[in-house]
Amino acid sequence: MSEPEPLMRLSFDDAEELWAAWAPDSEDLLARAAFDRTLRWALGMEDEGLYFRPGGWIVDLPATVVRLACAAAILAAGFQFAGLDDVDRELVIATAGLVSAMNVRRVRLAAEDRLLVERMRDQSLTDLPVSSKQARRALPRRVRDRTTREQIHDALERLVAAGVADRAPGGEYIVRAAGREAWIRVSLGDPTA
Amino acid sequence: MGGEPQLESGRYQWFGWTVSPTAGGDVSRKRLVETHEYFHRQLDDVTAFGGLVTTFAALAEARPEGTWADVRDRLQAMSDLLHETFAVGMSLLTTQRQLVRIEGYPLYDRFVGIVLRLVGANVHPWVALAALRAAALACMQGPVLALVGSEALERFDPASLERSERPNHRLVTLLSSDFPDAVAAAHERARQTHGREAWWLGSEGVGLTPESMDGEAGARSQDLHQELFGAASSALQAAGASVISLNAHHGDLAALVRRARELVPEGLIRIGALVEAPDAELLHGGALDSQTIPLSAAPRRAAVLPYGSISGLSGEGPSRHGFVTLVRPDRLRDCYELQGAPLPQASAIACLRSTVFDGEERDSVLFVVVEDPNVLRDETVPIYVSLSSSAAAAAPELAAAWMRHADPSRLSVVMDTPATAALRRWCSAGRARFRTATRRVSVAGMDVWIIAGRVEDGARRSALVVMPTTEFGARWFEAASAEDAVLDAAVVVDADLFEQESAHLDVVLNHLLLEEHVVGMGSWRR
Repeated sequence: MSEPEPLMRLSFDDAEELWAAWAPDSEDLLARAAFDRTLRWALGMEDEGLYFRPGGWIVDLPATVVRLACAAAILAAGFQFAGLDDVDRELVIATAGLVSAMNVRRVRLAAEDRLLVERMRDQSLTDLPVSSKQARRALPRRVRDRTTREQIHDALERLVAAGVADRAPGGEYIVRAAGREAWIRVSLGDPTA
Repeated sequence: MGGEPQLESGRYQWFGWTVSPTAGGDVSRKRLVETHEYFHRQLDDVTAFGGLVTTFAALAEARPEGTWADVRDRLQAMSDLLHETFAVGMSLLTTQRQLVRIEGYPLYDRFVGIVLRLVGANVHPWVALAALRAAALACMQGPVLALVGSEALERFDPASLERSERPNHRLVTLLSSDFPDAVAAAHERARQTHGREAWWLGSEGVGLTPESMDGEAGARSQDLHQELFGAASSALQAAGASVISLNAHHGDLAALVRRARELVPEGLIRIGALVEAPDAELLHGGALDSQTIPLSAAPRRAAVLPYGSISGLSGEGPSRHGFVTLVRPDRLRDCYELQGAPLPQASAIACLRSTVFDGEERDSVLFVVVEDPNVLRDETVPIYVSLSSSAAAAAPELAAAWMRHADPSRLSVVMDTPATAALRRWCSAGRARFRTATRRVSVAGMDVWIIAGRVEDGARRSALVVMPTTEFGARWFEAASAEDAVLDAAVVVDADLFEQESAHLDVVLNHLLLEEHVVGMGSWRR
């Protein structure tokens, strides 16, 4: 008998992150509704009807199911963006199963990236916008001296991809406090990357 | 999560809603939750698109094996954004809250944002209420029923509805139209006209005063609603959508329901405004009649045994008694894990019901099937007979036999079917009066409101009518009793009723609240 697939946790906040990553500036209410509706349905969270529920939600499901549900939700929103609503839910799920170009794995951070996060957190440079220049100053002098602002910029971008930081207006970044990292960030790039 | 306060939740399913009767907590939040569900139902009850969805929902319920549920769900997906926006906004406004995010309910922040975009952040709640209602009704009031009318229901495909006829699309159209400007202009005019009146100024914590919906202010609110419905209709029509006037869909809806009933010869149950009370606007939405209230005290396990194999009586010493219920076997199958004898094949059965204890623990519920009332004639303890109204409707002859047998002072009818229309019917004849009182009963961590009473006409008096509800339902019944002409004339509040009937109510309510898993006038579907 094969080992049961490990469970993966997905929460309301993760779904918000997923949407923000995929459609950061979208105010398309219909696409967002399609995303939410499909995600809830694909995760098997709701029976019939309309609910009024407190709190957000958290589900622990096999990783394949979570990944498929996220893909289906994005697909449904994509169909809606394209002007196609009332697309058969089973069709969306089936199509999502074929979509493998979506990388929803955690981004691996290099040791230097983790050092940058640690130093910024030590210096309370979290939850507020900082520039690449300010971030660089957080590094120990010996590391700072051999690191360019461009390298810091690239490191901050990796932190965004990993869900450890967010982009802020004006080319700045907001590093998240410890324990508040996003679970998931989606990149629509090379799945093997 | 441990340590966090338990927040209330609700669920709406086309014909009614389910709310938990958990004791304690924030009363205002409980009101918000149930009001939210009520407005879902109101929107479906009074609009063309709502009539379409609920008719297919009724078909889905009658024929779960068919594709009706898929049609229903696709129609709902075309209107869910609007539904939530309406329910969130209306429930906030009518429970005296600001149009701001609801603490503890982050899933609905987006809908608050949509309401604010639609009606504006700074308009008076009196204007916001009329505006939100007008916008939602215009979005739901397309010629959809007439479109369906031209084809066989089995072949109806929701995809055949133009996008401009889908409520979610219509909401998005309104948001980008000049409707919000029309609301702002209406607010400014209303402020100039009414800004110094007491009902407009409100009082501490009350923005939308009862007086603002009464008399002259109430009439002006209706005018404003009509005006803004016109503005919303114009905005939608400018974008290519069709809007029919309010109530113009009733003929098409009646025809659709007729055609749906032809597909379900054994009976299509569709409880909606049109069926419940075609001539009584007040009853739209059936607030009291839509509730399903899950109870948590009863054991899940139940044993069914034939009469004579075990006593079936309850209580000890002077409180020893028999409690006979007339129930539908389907409901027993739904609510309990049954053991023992198979349930008789019948639409309703009579059982002596009691609780089996294991030490202090409530272990299981015992149902001793009694086929003939006469077999209890020799019992020496008091026998209470309690009919559920759904069982009485399913087996009227059996119900009549038990009613003839029972001591009238120990006979009750627990309403689990819509009560308001029934009460109006009972009280319409002659000079009948409904002598009643309402009490909150707290038991096993639950707060349930009980409306109890007897219909009396001269020397004749009915069984004790018991209506389990929530604070929301009790308040609604109080308001309906004052505002509906028939109920106003018939309902007589008797503050001493619970004391006069205390022995009877003690028995009925203990059995009801500790042995049933679900009560409420919408619970007959269980």
